[in-house]
Amino acid sequence: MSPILEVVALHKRYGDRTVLHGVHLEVERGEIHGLLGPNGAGKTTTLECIEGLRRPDQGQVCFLGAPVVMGRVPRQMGIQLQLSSLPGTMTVDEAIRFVCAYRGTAVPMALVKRMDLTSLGARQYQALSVGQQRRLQLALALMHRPALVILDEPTAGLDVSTRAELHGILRELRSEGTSVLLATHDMAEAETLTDRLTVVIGGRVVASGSARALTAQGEGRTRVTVSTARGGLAKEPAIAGASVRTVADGYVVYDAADTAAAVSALLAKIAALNDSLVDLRIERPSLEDRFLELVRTEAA
Amino acid sequence: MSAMAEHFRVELRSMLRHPSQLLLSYLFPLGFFLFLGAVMPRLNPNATATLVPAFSLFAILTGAILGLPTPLVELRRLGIARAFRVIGVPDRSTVGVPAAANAAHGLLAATAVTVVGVTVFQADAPRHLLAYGLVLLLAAFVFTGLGTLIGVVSNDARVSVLWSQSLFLPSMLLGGLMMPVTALPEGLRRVSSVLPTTHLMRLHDALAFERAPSSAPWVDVLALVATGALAYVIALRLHATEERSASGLRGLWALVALVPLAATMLQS
Repeated sequence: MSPILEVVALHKRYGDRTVLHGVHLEVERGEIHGLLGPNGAGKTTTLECIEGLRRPDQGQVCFLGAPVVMGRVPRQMGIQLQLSSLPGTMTVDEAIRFVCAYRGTAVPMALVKRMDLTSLGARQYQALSVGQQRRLQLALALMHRPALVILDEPTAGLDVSTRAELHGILRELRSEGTSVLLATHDMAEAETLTDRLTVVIGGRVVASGSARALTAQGEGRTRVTVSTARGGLAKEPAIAGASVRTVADGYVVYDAADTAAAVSALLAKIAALNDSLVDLRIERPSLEDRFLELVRTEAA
Repeated sequence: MSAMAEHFRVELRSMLRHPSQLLLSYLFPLGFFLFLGAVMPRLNPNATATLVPAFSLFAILTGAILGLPTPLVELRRLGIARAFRVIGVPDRSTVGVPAAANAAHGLLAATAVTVVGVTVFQADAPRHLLAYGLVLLLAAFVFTGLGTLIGVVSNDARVSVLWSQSLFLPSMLLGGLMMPVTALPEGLRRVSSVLPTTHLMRLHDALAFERAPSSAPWVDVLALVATGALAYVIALRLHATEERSASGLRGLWALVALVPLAATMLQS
């Protein structure tokens, strides 16, 4: 099946500054696709070109098989912008009716209820909390049941529970077959929520794939943390196949290139010391580690 | 209900919830009218002749020129205009509906001025209500057009206030609202031709109050319609240009809209 969104060789300049150098991106149907990058990497410009809000200098954006025309936001897209607002005195009910009127749809009561907006109907936009405003904006982007939802840092500034609630909603959307393109700075969010990722640095795509695949490609080593009953390992921590990172409070932390070999060597060493294992933790390099590695590589 | 009608309804109600909008559309013009309406006829008995036409125009002028630009600047600055665009709101609605709602409030305030002026202050009543109403409609069209243009060309609220005041104060002082244009020296009388209120007061005199016209009314109508239309077209064009520069030269577009009025200087 062809991807729902295809971005090919996107170039964009602002005056003398080139902000996009041939960005490629594909979003499959029913996937949550993350767009990662440091500030000024070109994420928002990429999204604006996709949305038809900004004209690329070169390249093409195809959505549902048709090219996106500058100035005409595709109807089947639901968009939540990074800097987005509504008139402060507009009530939640008015905002919902207003958007539905322009979208030409009836008010989807189930969605309004799901987004917990029913009790906020008479509240003015300016009186809503940040979390409530984001929930309303997301609801407005979903009113017409779009095929692709584009969210630019939707969870920035939200508390943990509101963020978790939004993640739940995005997972529900995916299970219903809706595609989501999510630009975020939150590595944990990208790691747990997305199916695939595209990393943009300096206007170039420097990595893409699943979070697991991206972290596996890195040079980062697995961290192995061990403690033993009699503390024998803390006194003689050296093992083959892993380097000692720290020894503190009876815990030894190793950096291991080959995790299986390191764990085998550890167990053998503990047995040789007539000690017994109390705690063993294995931590793969995180997406954040890999992302920072990519940023450093590009900067170099 | 069509989308634009729903938008208009929301905008109409939303403006009433906004304290500064409420102040500029109703409290300030009506309060000023009630004060001067009580004082002026005692100081100058002839003031009753122009009380109703002058203050009805003043009510529309205040709401449109002082009240309309800042919300339009905020619309862009806060990302509301962009949010509207991705929702599918056409640019003509984003720009035009607030103007239409502002005009509706202005006309309501002008109606209150007319009723109170005639019944409470015994001011001269218009002889032709239809002509009177049409002149007020034309005033709403021109003032909201210029107010919209000021809102679109201004990069921030401070700039919009400067532009608004540079049109509002001369309109008050030289445009026939506070004193007849005929009482001005020749040089200032020519300058007053650039102000919409000068032409609107002439039209009120000629068409609604059946007083001897000081110029051909069709010239005034033509100049005002051209100014209003030009203001809306330029405002819409500038608003629709997404990647526009933030250059202060954009403000000069506001002056282009006044060219039809300035051209009438040649006639006077």
